[in-house]
Amino acid sequence: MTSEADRILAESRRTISLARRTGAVVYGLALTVGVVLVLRAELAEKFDMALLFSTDTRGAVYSLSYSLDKGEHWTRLEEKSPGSGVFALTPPPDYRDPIPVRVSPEIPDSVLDTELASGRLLRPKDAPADEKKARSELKDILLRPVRGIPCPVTFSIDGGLTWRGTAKEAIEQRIYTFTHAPEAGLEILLRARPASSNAVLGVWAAVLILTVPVGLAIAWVVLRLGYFTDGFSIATLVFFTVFGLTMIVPFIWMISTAFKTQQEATLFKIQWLPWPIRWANFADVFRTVQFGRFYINSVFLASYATIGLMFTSSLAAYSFARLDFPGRDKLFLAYLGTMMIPGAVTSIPVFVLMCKIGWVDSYKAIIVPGLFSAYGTFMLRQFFMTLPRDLEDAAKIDGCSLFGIFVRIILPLSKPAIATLTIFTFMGSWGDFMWPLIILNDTKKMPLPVGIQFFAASEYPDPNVLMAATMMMIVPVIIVFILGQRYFVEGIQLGAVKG
Amino acid sequence: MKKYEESRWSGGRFREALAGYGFISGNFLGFLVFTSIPIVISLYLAFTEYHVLTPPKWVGMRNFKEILWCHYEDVPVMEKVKTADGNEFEQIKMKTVTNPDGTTAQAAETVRKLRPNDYNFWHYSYNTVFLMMGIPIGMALSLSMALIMNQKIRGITFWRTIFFLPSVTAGVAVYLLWTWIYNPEQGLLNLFLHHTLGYLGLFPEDHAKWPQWLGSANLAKPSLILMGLWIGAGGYNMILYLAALQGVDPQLYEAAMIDGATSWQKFVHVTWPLISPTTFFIVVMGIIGGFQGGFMQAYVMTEGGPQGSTTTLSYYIFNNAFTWFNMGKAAAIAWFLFLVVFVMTILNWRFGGKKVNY
Repeated sequence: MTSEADRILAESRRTISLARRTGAVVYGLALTVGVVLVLRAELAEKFDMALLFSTDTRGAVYSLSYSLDKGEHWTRLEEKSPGSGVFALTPPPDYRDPIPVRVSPEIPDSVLDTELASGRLLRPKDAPADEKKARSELKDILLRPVRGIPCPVTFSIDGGLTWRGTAKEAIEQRIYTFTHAPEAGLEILLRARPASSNAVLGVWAAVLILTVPVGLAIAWVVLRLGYFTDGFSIATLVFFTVFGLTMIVPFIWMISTAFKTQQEATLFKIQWLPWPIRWANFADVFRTVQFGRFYINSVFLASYATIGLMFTSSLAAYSFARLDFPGRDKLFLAYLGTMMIPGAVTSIPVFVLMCKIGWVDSYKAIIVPGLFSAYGTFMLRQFFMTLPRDLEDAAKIDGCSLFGIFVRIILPLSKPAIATLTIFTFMGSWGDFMWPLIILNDTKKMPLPVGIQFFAASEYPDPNVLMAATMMMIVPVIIVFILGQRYFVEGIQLGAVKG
Repeated sequence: MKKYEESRWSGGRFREALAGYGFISGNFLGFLVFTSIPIVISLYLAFTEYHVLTPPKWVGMRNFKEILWCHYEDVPVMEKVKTADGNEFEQIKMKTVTNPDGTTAQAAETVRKLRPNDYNFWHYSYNTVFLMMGIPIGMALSLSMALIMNQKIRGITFWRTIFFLPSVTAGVAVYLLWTWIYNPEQGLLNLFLHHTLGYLGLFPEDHAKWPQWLGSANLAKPSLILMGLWIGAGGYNMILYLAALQGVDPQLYEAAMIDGATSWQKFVHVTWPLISPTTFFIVVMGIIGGFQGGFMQAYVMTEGGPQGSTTTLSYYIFNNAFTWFNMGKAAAIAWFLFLVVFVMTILNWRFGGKKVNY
């Protein structure tokens, strides 16, 4: 009888556990397969051979070739005078296609028509008189194998440049000319697309083989964390996933854009994986504006404000919380009352004051008003009030001075509140925008938020460069947040006590 | 009180008071110089015309009249005219008037209309209130998030971290990121809509017809609200709600369950009343913040445009004070803002406070 019950119990446990496991595995696989599906088209493209041509200030043309086995390879091409209107692109001599490529899309008739009509596309000299035949020949020429590249290749020019002239000779000399004069720093991405090849199949196989273990690993973590304990939890997990993705996707988009080339960043399609990866975006930020200086300014200003504010606020809070003096409660009420007054009300006279004493455009004008905070005083006072008095009384009997009590007893006891307020003050000061914007004119003195806004508004950076700057500003904040998370959460709840 | 009577001015008490003043002095100096005195000065400035370089000139109520009052204005009457080829256009309606000397002349027909002295002020007030529509939506989102997060699940810190990321990074960088996301042709939002709604035929194929999120006067404000929801939904309010929910006594739920309450009834009759202090706090803070808000995002993302549709009162104050150096008017608007915030908060305490159940 008992054994029968045990058997049924064990059976039911097993089925529940099986259902849970199935659910978790489905979740894990759905997540990974979803990611692979989203990236499918891009992954296929990433294994294209890409030829990246870029020009330097003198109009010299470099070409960059990527191949799966050789990595990147730069070649300097012939130098042309800038503004000549035509420049030549030649695949580097040792360019080898590592993959047997079978290409691919024919140029549609409509494109051929417009190219012919506009005169951009030249007919070969010995083109047949028959229009239909001539056309097919034209396609043949375009798709004909080129020396050095053992298979036909179509070039797609993502930068929106028009290509010109592919006379038979030109192709055989491997020279392509473009109608636009190369601007300095112009980069042109040419792609040779392998429609199907062993290498691509191999990579796909690798991706698919990785998908399953990663999915199972996610399932394992999810089970370990105790999801799928009942039906509701599955809905929770799905909801969390959807909501979490919404929160994180813009950041991923930012990081992805920060590594793209200008061409890729301005494509009319979603592209998550940047290729080729352009590290120079970050260098560009530092080259156009004094980004390092902004960083140092921000750290300097925020540190000063935090240390100073913590000092004055904690002393005043101690005084409000523990010391008796005439007028204390009225003064505290006045502090409370001013907390509701909009910053705009006080910022006008303070600005006038800064004008009068000549502090405009100086660090002092930002640091000094920040040294005091009614809110910080209030928050710490509330916390100090909750501390037990016994220790202080004991210290008093032992003859400890009031300041001694503050330093030796109150401060050590209120470490969490102090840590919280420190983080909040630092973050507040780090993100402070309006006041530095009002006070500062000199670019050299700008903290990060004002500096980056100045960069965006006055230098018209390419989106990829701007996102590189944005990323450099956001990532440290995220790291600080993850490290100090506990204090954030406590601080928010502490701040709400006054409600 | 008794304490004071016992030893009002004994040595210990005197020393303590002295120490109290000493400890508070640094902070109090700042309070005096950067808060309380400026408040008085700015109230004075609100009644003056002041351009920083010349001394302030007392103008009485003029600044307030300029922003809050109306005047009559003769506005030309427009009429629709049909041309021979069937098109219509508008032109000023003319009428014949007789001069004193008996001759006649053509003059524009006008009508007397009541016009606000400062149309922009009202426009920007409307914008400010419009943007505050995000507060209730955000609160509902935060509360539902908190309700779902209020379970005994491990790894909740992981999710909380992710949900909190937008609000902790909020600032110029995030606004720049969203300007890029809202980019009409290459931004993530339109491309995403193109790839999803586009397949269903609900999104125009033609790039020129794609929504200009920040570039059109109609969409700019909703776009900013949407961004605000992304920033705020999983942020401070959610954590406040979560803390409140965790403070609810589980015995109450058990009692409700025994009484046969559905989960909706449990929410309405147990949870909602018990978390009402948090709701009240969030509403009050939201209103205070909402009236003063909107400067940074408008400055960074739209420069107040298009056609002033994202300029809020705080931006208007900023422009008046620090772009046009019209300090008197700026102070007047700032004080008006303060009064609105003050009245709203008082009303909240009077009427909302009653609904707070404990």
